[in-house]
This record gives sequence, C-alpha cells and structure tokens, in this order.
Amino acid sequence: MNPETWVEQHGDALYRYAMSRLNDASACEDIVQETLIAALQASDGFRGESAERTWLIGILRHKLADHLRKRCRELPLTADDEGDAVVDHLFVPNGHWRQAPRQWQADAGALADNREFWQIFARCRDALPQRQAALFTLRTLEDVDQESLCQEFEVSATNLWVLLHRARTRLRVCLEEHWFGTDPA
Amino acid sequence: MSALVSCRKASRLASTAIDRPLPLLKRIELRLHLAMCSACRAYRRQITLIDRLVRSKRDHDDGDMEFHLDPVARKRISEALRRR
Repeated sequence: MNPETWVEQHGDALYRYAMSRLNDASACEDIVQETLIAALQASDGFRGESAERTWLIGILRHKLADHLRKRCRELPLTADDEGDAVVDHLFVPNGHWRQAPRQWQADAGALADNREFWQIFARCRDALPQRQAALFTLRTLEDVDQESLCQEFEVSATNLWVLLHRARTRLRVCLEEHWFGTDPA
Repeated sequence: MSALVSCRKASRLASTAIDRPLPLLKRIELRLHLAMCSACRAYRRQITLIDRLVRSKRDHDDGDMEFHLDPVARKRISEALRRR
C-alpha cells in the first residue's frame, strides 16, 4: 500500500462515486480529501483482504453519509412538519389526483446506461428539498436501513416514510416533465 | 367509506411498500385501491422503475466518466496527505 499514489490511482474514482450521490464539486473534493486522510490514519486496519479501491470506497461512503447528515442538521427543524407544496398540489382536497400519472414508455434496461437520463436524474434529485434528497440517496443508493436513518436524521419512522414518499413523488414529476414527457412515443 | 383509501394515501402505501413489507391490512387496502385505479398503478410502476434504476447504479457504477478531480484539488489533497 502506497498512500503517495492514492490521489493518482483512486482520486477520480472516489470523486465520481461521491459526485453520483452528491452533485456538488467542492463538497465532493473535500470528501475525497477527508477519506484519504482517514484512510492514512487507519491504514493499519487495511489487511489486504479487499482491494485498496474497495476499502477506500468503504471509507468514502461513511464520509459521504456524515456530510449529508451534517447538512441536514443545519436546516431549520420545522421544515418537515409542514406539508410539501409540490406534493400537496398533485392532489385535490379529497385525495384524488389533480392530474393523474400517465403511462411512461420506458425501456428500463436502456435507461440504466443512458448518460443523458442520469444527468436529468441528477438535476431532479438536486431539485429535491435537502432532507428528502439525503434520505432518498442514503436509502436507495447506500441501502442504509430504517433504524439508522431515523436515528441519524432524528425523524420518526412515520416521518421517514412521508419524506421518502415526497421524494419519489417529486422525482417522478420532474422526470415526467424533463424526460418521459418529451418521449415521442 | 373506510375500506377505500384515497389516491394520496394509496401512493404513500405504494412508496412505503418499496422500503418494507406492509402490514396485512394496509397491503389489502393498497391492493383493492390499485385494482380499481389505473393512475395509481401507473404511479406505482413509475416509482418502482425509479427505485430499480437507482439501485442498479449502486452495484456497478463507475460514475460519470466525464468527471475528473480538479488539478487544484488534486494538488491540495496530495499535500494534505504528505503533511500527515
């Protein structure tokens, strides 16, 4: 193991991993730096059981989760107790859709490798309220379990489901507007 | 009528069902609603698709290859490592 070569060998990969979860260049650069410094301090713990890259990504994931959590701590506490205007507007007062979701013509297999789709997706995710974005990312991309999310973000389980529902609902509205809605099919 | 949940509630149940198994009663409420409501069926298909796509990125994602660590940041990080 040679820390001298880490930035050269793994810098871009770590940076890309962070950027795919948090589209904020300067924050991601900081996260890469924190990751490598933590790795250096913990290098005795590296036993070569996993590839160096995998080990570093593992540390990066913790740093990323820390970062998302800290960002949310700084938000005003009341923000989630209120309704979500975007989601509220989708329904009429009796709970029916104001505008019903339409069918998407989607080939999931093709979308997964479509770079343009992921750029739109990143924009839609960035447009989410911060707490929703953080919870959706950690839940779906990092597979963090319910208990940890509730504890670390100081939300009740019910609130967690509400926030994830809002995140998904906003994402589908945004994707319909900017991607699926423009499908000529 | 309490046996019939609204679209708003059904959409929430459909979302929660992605994260954890629903209790029996809720599962039945959701199923009954979806049987009658094509809009909520579309909603569920869409959020399920989004979830599946995002999860598929999780395991084999090298990120956007256009992204590179900025040279200034690269230098700063190398120096920070050397100081340790």
